Amino acid sequence: MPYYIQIEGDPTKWWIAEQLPTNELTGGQPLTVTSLAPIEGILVLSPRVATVAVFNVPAGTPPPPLGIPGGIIYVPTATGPSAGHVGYVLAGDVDPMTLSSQIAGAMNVGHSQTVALSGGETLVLNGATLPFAVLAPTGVGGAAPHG
Amino acid sequence: MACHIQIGDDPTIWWLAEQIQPSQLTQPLGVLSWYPIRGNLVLSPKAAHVAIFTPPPVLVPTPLSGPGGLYLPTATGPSAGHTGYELPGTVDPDVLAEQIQALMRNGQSQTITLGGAGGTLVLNGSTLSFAVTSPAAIGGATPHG
Repeated sequence: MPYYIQIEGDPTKWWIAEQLPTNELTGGQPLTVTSLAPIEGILVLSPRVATVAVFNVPAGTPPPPLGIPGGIIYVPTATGPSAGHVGYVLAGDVDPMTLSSQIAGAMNVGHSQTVALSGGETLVLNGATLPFAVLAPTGVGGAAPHG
Repeated sequence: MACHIQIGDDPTIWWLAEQIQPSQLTQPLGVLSWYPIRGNLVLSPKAAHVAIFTPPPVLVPTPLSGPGGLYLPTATGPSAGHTGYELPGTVDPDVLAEQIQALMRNGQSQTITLGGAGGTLVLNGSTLSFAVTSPAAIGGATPHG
């Protein structure tokens, strides 16, 4: 059965591939799950997250994922991702999968994680307070087509 | 005397039925909310910041109507048709407010079955800043005293 989750105040409906163990969402380890839409990637969920709503969907399939311009990281916003606004573009040498593990580690110990962005910019994540992050793409071979 | 409060990053200004003092914010607090949702507001001492205002001497506006449910912090606040998660009709909002207050006190989590299309809501009492439980739509403005 397909389902989606909503995390804290971010309005996004995240369609998830695996069933979430709701009894393990808080107080334990960060969870890493596969997000199908609106961004196809890896969703890292903090055990400190304040609220997670898990909705069952009787029928239907996830909407097509948004196009991404390369490796990206989405962190919570007031509006959620949309076409052309899918998060921060990662520096070319940052592997999203590796970064997802690093963010899970930062959430686990409550430390900060610095992320190199394209154009030489830097993103600092606070693992003690960040509720979730989504990294994409997850496949080998670089960025997904943008469109 | 009533007061207005604003909690954390949620933009909502809550009209409360009673005055609260900063010294009360050291433990979970349950107060009656008149607007924009009429219900029970449960406030955690872990809220990042709480602004307490003296309200103007005007009537409380008519609260938003809804199926009864649970409002949790958002970046936009509640609005008509978006008053939070719908709960099953069997859930007593007063009891749920007490349970959330207990969660905030002991830092534990609770899983709640949602109404409507169905689903599950997980609340983390150690990080949740506030919640508002409300009964099904109650019409009419409340006098402001």
